[in-house]
Amino acid sequence: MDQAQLTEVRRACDRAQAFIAQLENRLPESGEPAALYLARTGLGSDDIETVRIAVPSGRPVWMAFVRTIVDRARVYDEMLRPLQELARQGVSDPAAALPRAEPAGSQPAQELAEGRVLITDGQKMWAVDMANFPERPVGEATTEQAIIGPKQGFTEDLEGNIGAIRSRLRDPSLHIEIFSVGRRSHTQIALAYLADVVNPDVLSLTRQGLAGIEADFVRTSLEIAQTLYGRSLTTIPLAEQTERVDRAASAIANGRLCLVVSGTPFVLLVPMTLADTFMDTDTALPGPVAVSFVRGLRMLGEVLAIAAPGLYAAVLTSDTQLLPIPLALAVSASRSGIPYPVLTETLIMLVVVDVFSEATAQAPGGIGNALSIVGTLIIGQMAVQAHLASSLMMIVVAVSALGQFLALKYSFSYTLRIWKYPVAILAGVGGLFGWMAGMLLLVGHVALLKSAGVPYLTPLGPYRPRTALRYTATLIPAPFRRGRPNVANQQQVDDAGPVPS
Amino acid sequence: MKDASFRLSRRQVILLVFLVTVCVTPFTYDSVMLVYLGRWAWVGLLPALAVGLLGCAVAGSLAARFPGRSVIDYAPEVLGPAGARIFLLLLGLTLLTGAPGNLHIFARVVRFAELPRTSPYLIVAMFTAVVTYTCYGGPEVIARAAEVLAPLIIGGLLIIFLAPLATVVPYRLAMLGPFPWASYWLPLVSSTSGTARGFLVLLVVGGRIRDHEDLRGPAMAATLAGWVLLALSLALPVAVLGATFAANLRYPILGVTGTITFHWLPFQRITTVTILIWQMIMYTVLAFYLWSGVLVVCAALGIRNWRPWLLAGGALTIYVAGIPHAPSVQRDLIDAWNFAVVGAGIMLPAPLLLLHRGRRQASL
Repeated sequence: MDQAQLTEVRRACDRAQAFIAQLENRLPESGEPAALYLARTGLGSDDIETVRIAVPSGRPVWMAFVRTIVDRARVYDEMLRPLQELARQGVSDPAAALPRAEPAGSQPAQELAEGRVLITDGQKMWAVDMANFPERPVGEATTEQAIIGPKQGFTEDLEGNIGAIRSRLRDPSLHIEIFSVGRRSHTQIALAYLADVVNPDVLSLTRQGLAGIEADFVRTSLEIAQTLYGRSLTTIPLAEQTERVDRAASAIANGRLCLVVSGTPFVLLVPMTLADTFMDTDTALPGPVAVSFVRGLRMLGEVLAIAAPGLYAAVLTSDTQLLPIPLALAVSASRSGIPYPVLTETLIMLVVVDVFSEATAQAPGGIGNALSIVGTLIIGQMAVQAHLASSLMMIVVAVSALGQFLALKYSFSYTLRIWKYPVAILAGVGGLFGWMAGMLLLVGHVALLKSAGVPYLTPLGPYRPRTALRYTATLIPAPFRRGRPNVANQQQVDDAGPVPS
Repeated sequence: MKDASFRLSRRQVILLVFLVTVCVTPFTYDSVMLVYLGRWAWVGLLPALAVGLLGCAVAGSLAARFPGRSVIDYAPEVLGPAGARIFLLLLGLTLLTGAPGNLHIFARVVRFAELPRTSPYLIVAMFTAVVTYTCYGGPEVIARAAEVLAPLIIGGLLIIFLAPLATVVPYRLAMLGPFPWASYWLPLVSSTSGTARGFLVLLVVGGRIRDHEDLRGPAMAATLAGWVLLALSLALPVAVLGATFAANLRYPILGVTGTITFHWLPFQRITTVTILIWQMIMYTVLAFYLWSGVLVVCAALGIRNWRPWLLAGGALTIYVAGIPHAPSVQRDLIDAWNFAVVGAGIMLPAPLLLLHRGRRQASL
């Protein structure tokens, strides 16, 4: 047995001892049968409901089920009412009232997670299948569209969303904890995680963060994310927002935490790292090479979105010797007649493009399309003809604008949009030296950030070779993968050893 | 000490050792070495290798002897409170002067190659502001940034040092005749050739690695790799341009990179790319010098929270690095600083180690 296995066994023993101690101290005084209590606490979720049916001349009958994934109307009509009828008659044998009841298996917690209702009289336990997993609460996810892949999206309904996650992840170790945040709004937030995979430190930090949020009203999930980890001023999202159920379930399976916020269709996934901005669970692409290619394109797009306008300003301000002579001459000819410096030209065009992007995003569908045509065809052409900008500048801002939309996370595209301004200004002042200073400022800022205690640059810095390869490029074919990528010191991971902070 | 409970990984420490070793090349070694030693210039750097390796051995031994603790933690135990203060003050000032020393040289190169009309104060202020912001996060943040930049830096270094190999004329490197000892013993040359400073990283953060492994071997390997680049930055100009021609250039390595163009790329000159790569190296190295200098000086003066003092360190760096002075004065400063590094980095830790060993034997 090697060291890792030994550590794993020790951890399991510790967990078992802690659980036994907890059980000894906390066995309910209500008389709930131990088997049911064990199943309930084994699942460890706040969305479990327990019902006690008193029988006048016999032992009470107990029922337990996960209310977010069962058909509650059927539970009432087909189980609760017949059992109460029988109880009134003084019969305490549930099997007599429930013809569909089957003896429960050896893993009652698993039965609960599968959507079955457990019934016990204290001696025997039965299970009845009442599963009602929400198949498709609403239509497609609108902000994260998959070309070929699951299209199920979350809704504003907390319980429906939890049920949707459970339908994807029918694992007994999926735990749900419900918090109430906001002094006046009392917004409910469900924290979903796999108890045997998640990093306990990340979990405890997030619990503390949720308990410490002081606000009257919580409107969006991103508000919570930015205040949760004490970095409310940064423009970089510290939690991944998604409205796709498959992405949330996949993240939980990889040991991340999912915060389902009542009243919003966007759930939060933490910890978030930079790699999550170009990672996708899309299965449309055949093989690791194609996936690597697309991820490479996304990375390049994100870098270009920030770097391209600054690079243009830097090269034309002080480093034209960097260009081949024919290109330098062409650029020079393209800029002839433009009455202001390169930096001014760059900033004007960046603002114009951002105004159009924002207008297109805010306008209703049809008008948005018309606006984008007006922006790209008419204003761009007119700007060049009126000597407001060079044709190369138009290409640069177009590349930058397209690059920012390659970021999978909509909130991250705003980060790219904002950061290109300081980089362009530094480049306009200090040439390539200033451009690189701007890029290094961004690197330093991202290196400072942590999401749920995990460095934002993981697995690139701190460097985790296997995870970096798999998490950023997926060059490792499936048969050679083991465990899950280690970005947050989860349990059962691919890379052995802890991630340094 | 408050706010000093940092932890780095072994890989991060070794990477910083390499970057601090390699940061002085190629611009510190301007034509002075070629003027005095000609084609023997790279051989003249052998003492730098010896100093670097010895420094790694000493600092690595201290790190192994005091696992989980930095030099700030164990210095009072070994030297006593007063001795520790004096030692830490010397070490801190050495590190603090490292930041403006390197930045001044770098700003001079930027002005020479890119921004001749820009004030040196603007250049150093812009860069120091970026570096100080990173330092605010402490050594983990500096190390993370270094790890992210490492693939770009190493890839760039490979291009810079491998691309000119196609134009090398091997016979120009033939070291005919005796080694010019008379020139070598000039203080200017001997001090310039005695600097491979990666061991300073090991001295400050060596004990604070997570996995308590012996760092001496990997740190020596990193120093050796850095030294090879130092030697190449002197050997390549000779092999490509000839010793006499290269000695007339202010920055011989820029002369070499200036001869290389990639016509199939939109960016055809790799001289500018060379400066960009060096800017990345300088960023991590300056951040380390500034953070560690402020940390160690604060410890020596009994200041518990070092973060607010970063601003003072940054302002001092801008002021010192921006002062325009003649190359001869610059060289005198480099001489003095190199001796300070060797003194604070090697001569002081060695007795520290011996003292501790002596005490342990006495207690046994």
